[in-house]
Amino acid sequence: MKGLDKYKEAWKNQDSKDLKYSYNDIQEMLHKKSSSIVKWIFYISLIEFCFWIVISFAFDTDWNTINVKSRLYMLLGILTAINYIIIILFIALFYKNYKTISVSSNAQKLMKDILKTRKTVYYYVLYNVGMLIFGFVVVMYYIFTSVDFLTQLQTARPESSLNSSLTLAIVISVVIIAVIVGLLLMFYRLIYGVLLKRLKQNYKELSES
Amino acid sequence: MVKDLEHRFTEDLEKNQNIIHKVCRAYTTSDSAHKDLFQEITIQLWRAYPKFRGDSKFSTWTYRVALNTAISLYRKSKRQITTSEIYDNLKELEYLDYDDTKDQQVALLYKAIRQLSDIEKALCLLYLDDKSYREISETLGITEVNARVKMNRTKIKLKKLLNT
Repeated sequence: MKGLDKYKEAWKNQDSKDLKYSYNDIQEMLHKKSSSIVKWIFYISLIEFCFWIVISFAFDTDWNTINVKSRLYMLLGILTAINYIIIILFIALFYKNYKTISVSSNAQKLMKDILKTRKTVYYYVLYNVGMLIFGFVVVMYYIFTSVDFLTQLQTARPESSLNSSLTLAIVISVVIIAVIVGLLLMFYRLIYGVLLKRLKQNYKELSES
Repeated sequence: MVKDLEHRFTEDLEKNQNIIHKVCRAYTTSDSAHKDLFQEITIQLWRAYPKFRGDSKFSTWTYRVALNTAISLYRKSKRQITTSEIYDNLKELEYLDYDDTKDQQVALLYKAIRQLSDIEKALCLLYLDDKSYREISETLGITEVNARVKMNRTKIKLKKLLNT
C-alpha cells in the first residue's frame, strides 16, 4: 500500500485551519439539546405507549355503554386486566433496553442496542394491533348474534333480507378496521423507516464478513 | 463539583478537538452539517463523561464516541444535500488551490473518504490514524480477522478513488 503512505503522512500533520473552537464555544455546546435518533426513538415510543393506553381506555368506555351480556362483560374485564399487565411489562422492557444504550460501547453493540429498543416498541405495536383485532372480533360476534341488534337491523332495512343486511354490516365493519390497522402500520413504517434506514444499513454492513 | 467536572471536560475536549473535526469532515459535506455533528458529538461526550473512568485515554474514548455518533446517532439533515455541492466545489477547491501539497493531499483524501460508506469511513479514519487491529476491532465490535478483511477492501477502494 505504498501509494497511501504519502497521504497518511499528510493526514497526520493536518491542521484544521479555520475550524477551531474556543473553550467558551465548547462550554456553550454542552448545554445545547441533543438531536440524536435515540432521543427521537425514545420520544416517539413514549407517544406510542400513551396512544395505546388512551385507546384501551376509550374502548373501555365504549364497552360499558354497549348493553352487552354479562358473560362478554366479564371476558372483556379479564382481557383488559391482562392487557395492562402486558403493557407494563413492555414499558419495563423498553426502559431496560433504552438504559443499556451507551455511546461508549463498540459500534456494533451500540447499533444492536438501538435496534433492540426499537424492536420492543415494534412488538408492542403488533401486540396492540392484534388485541385490537381480537377485541373487535369478539365484540362484533356478540353484537351480530344479539337479538336486539338483529331486530334493529331488520327495522332499519325492512326491504332487504336479514342475511344480506348482516353481511353488509360485517363487510363494512371489517373494511373500517382494516383501513384503521393499515393506516397505523403504514404510519409506523414511515416514521421508523426514515429514522432507522441508515442505521440498519450500517449494522448490516458491519455484521457482514 | 459539577463545575469542576465541566471545566476539566471542556479543557480536555478543547485540546482533543482535532479528533472530532476529522470525523466531522469525513462524515459531512457542508459547513453547517460539520458544526451540527460537532455539537452532537460534544453533547454525547459530555453525557457519557461521568462514566468515563480513564481506563482508556481521553483521546481514544473521544474517537470512539465521535465515530459512534457519526455512524449511529446522527441524522443527516436534508439541508445538507442542497449545500453539499457548495462545500465540495468551493471549499475543497479552496483547499486544493493551496500551494502546499500536504494540504492538497489532505483535501483529496477527504474527498475520497466522503465517497465511502459510513463503515468504510470509520475504517479509513482508524487506518490513517495508525490504530492497531486490536483497537479497530474493539472500537467497531467485530473480530480482528473481520477487521483485517474489511480494512483491506477499504484500502483498495480508497486507492482506487485516489488514483494511486
